[in-house]
Amino acid sequence: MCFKINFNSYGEKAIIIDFKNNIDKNIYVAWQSELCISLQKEFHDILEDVVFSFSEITLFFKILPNRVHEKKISTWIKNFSLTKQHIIRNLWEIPVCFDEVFSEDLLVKSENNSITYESYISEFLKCIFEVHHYGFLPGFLYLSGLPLKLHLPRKPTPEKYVAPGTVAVGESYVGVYPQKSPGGWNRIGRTYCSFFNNKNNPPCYTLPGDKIKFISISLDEYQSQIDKIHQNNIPKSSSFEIIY
Amino acid sequence: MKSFIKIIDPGFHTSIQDNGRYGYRRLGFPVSGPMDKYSFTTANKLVGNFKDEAVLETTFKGPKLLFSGPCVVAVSGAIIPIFKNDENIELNKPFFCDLGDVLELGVVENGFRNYISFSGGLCQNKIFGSYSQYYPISENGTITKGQNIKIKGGVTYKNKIKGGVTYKNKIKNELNNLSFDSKLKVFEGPYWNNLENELKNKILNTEFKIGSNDRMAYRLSGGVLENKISSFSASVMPGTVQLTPKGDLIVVMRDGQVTGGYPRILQLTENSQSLLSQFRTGKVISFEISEYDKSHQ
Repeated sequence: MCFKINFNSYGEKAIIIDFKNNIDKNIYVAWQSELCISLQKEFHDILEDVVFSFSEITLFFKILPNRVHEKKISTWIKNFSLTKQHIIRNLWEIPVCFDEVFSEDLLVKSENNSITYESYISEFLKCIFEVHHYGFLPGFLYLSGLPLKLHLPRKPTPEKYVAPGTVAVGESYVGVYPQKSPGGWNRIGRTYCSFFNNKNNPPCYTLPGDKIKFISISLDEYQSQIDKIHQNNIPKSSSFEIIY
Repeated sequence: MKSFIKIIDPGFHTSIQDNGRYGYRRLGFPVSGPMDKYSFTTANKLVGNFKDEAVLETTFKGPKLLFSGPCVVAVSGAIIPIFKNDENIELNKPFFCDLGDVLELGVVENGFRNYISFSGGLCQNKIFGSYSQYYPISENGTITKGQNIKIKGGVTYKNKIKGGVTYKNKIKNELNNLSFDSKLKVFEGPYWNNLENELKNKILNTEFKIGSNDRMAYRLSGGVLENKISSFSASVMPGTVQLTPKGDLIVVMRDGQVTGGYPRILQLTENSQSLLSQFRTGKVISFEISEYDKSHQ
């Protein structure tokens, strides 16, 4: 992999590395996340955090960064990109209940749109999503891979209360609310799996580049499992390898 | 020797804060930590803490605390009445508390937030490398009535007072300059130079009024800044000023999200973040562009 690295200042103690025109963001999610984790380990004495979002990596420094730091980091990234990477990721199966009590926003939308409620859910269940990054709340996943016909626009005014475990769609992304929160995405289902547990380290078991498949469950099954939502209830998974 | 403080009344919104929680932004953890870092650091230095130890951050109305053992204490930040038992205590001056003493802060007279520091610092429930309270990473987002909070010990009272007083003389001039100035210094944000000049000028010549605000974000309005900039999601940090399509500004604060959906037009300097967090709803502010200090390069 070969690309140009541009550093841009962001406040005094952060630097943005712009990847916009360099790499295909959909293909290299796992690679980008490995790069961030490795960068943070390698430069832990000067970096407090490394975060990637859709088209950039942000480096948060403990100190005021200078050109020597930039040069070192840039050389290190170039070497990383030239080294073959074997990355292990998981495919997770997440049980979701699509009963109408949990998918009220989809009901409203399907009345106005060309796609019916039933066919939306059946198309949704065929998708395999990719964990893109965490943001918004601790453990809130941005999942990519939603086909265009299933995109739903964000609500103009956010709901004051979205329940934990809610599976929701915002534009082209799918998210699962790890806690109760205000939210402007469309609620389409509910899972009893929790993606964030402050008693575990790491507190989130999925990594960017992991795949997620949703499995439909009945309301009865959801209700029989819901008491376990705060327990260490990690769903089924199988691992796979990515080589760059 | 470890002692503790008992919370008789938690005040309006009081939380334990240290320097913040770092290394977990990629999991969506906000960094937390003190809203007014300047007053936080001052409070710690006044009691002789040479590191950024955990303190109490209070908002608007302060708490009432009961001490179970000896400790040097100081209060920094907003102008507020402070009482130890019935004795009136000065802001930014270290004092001694012992078993049975009651410390009470009133309601702010100027400013919004205070920092109560304790010699050795607070040491209640460190989680993911930090004592800072943020729900649901910590069990609670604030201190609660009846709670006991542990205080580290270690250094003698005499040393503490001496260290504190020495420090106070050194920073006296600086403290006098804590001005509540309404002009906030900012750097250009990543999106600034994509804005049209007309919009840039409007932003720099507008007086914005503070709307709803908390530890996550401050909302500012007042300009006619409607725009059609398409939204995208990218990292944000405390002090980042985002422009919404309606033309309001959202300033990300300490408990704010790690990614935001609006263009990042400006970045408050650390001191301006401290200053903004001393303001509340209704206060009018404006921005002034600062150059990056490149002297260290």
